Amino acid sequence: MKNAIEVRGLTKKYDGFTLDNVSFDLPEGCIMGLIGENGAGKSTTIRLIMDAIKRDAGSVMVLGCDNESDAFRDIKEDIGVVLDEAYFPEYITPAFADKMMALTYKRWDSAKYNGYIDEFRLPRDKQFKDFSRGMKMKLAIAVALSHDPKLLILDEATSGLDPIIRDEILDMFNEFTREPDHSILLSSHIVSDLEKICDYIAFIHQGRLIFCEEKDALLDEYAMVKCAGEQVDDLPEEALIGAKYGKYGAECLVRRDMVSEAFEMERAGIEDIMLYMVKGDGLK
Amino acid sequence: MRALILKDTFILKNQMRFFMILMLFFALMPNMFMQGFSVVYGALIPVSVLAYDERSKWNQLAAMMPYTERDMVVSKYLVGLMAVAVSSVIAIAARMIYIVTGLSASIDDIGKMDIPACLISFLAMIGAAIIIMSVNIPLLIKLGAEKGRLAYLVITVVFTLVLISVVTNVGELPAINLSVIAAVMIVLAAVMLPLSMNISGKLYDKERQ
Repeated sequence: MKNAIEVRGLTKKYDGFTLDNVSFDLPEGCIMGLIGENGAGKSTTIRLIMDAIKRDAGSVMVLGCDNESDAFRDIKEDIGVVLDEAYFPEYITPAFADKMMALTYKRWDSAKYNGYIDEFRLPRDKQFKDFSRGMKMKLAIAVALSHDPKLLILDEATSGLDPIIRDEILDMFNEFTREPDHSILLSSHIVSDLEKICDYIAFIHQGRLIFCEEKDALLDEYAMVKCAGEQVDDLPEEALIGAKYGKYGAECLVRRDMVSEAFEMERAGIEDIMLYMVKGDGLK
Repeated sequence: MRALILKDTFILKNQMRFFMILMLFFALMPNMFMQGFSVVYGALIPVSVLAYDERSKWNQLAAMMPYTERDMVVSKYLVGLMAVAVSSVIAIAARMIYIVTGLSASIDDIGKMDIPACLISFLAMIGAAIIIMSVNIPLLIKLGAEKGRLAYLVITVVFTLVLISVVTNVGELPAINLSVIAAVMIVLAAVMLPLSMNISGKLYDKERQ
């Protein structure tokens, strides 16, 4: 299987923050969710993948092209990007964006774009600055999907949208990856969205990649155990990822196959895995 | 590149209509000082366009699209050059009409200038506008719209005042001096413009750090 994105040893140093030696692959035809707290390095990773900022070390291949090569400009024709605040010029309107993008992308599909504008019920002549956050994101998604991209890179694209529209958009993303050579990398705070549609989950914490695994493998690998506080000591040390102690007992994230069936195990969600890996012990 | 120029002209058309009308008004005035100002004013257009881009953080999204850094930088110069060209054409056409009809002679003291002398004056103005733009666009890219605009204003005002005082006093100077001034301006502009584009490109690239 070919990879849509290959990131190796990606490093970027700022004062007070380092994205440190991040490596992962996004296989073609798959959806990868990038999770992590605010400031973890998700947006930095996305900007580095698009060569919008310069890396200090490592390599990035996108759709088979080194992202620092001159050929990457042509590869950008195949990539639809939605950034966390959309960032369109504030005075443009959806009608004008159609004209502008027709001169930007060689394969711009005006009919498709206008179809999305209708579907999202966006006013054609309203200025971008007067849009709500949800409308801004919808415009950005319409643009990203209307130039026949093979790869979508979405930074917090669904935040600010109401649940109904969010669900519709997630369906669109799912539909997009029905083509075997279409892939999506998306970051979101709404972990439930990612859990719904992603094949892979990459977790970045304080600039480091904690894991990048298939979602189903993750959900198989980890489980939650609810028990009395003193029972936590009975769990094998190597199985215990993190524990949270409360008034009525403890909740622990464990490696499922290392824990005796005597403990009652429940499914661990991605959010549990993320939370306990980072903060479990700290919440005692 | 065409998309970027279209975006900038859209912003100018929609958000800076008043300034465009003002520029047209100055260009049409039967007064060489005002007409000269309208030409140099064209060089100010990229400042506003860059400020709008900065406010909406457009560069962040543009970096994700198939524009090159060269497109991003050169489009700003082209918008400025287009503004200078439009105001120059209008100002020169108006001035020619004023000379032919004798209107300017009754209004400003440059009215006694003949057509070749006027054209040479405008050439000097155009050169000045390009020089101002060449100095200021890299400053704006380096300093950002707020600080850059301040630096731009200081440089533009000083440069324009010096130039206009020279040109408006040219009546007392031999015509050859005006030609020399215009020639120096145009040569300087021709040298500075590509140099400035190069520097702006490097500064823009550095902004990606």
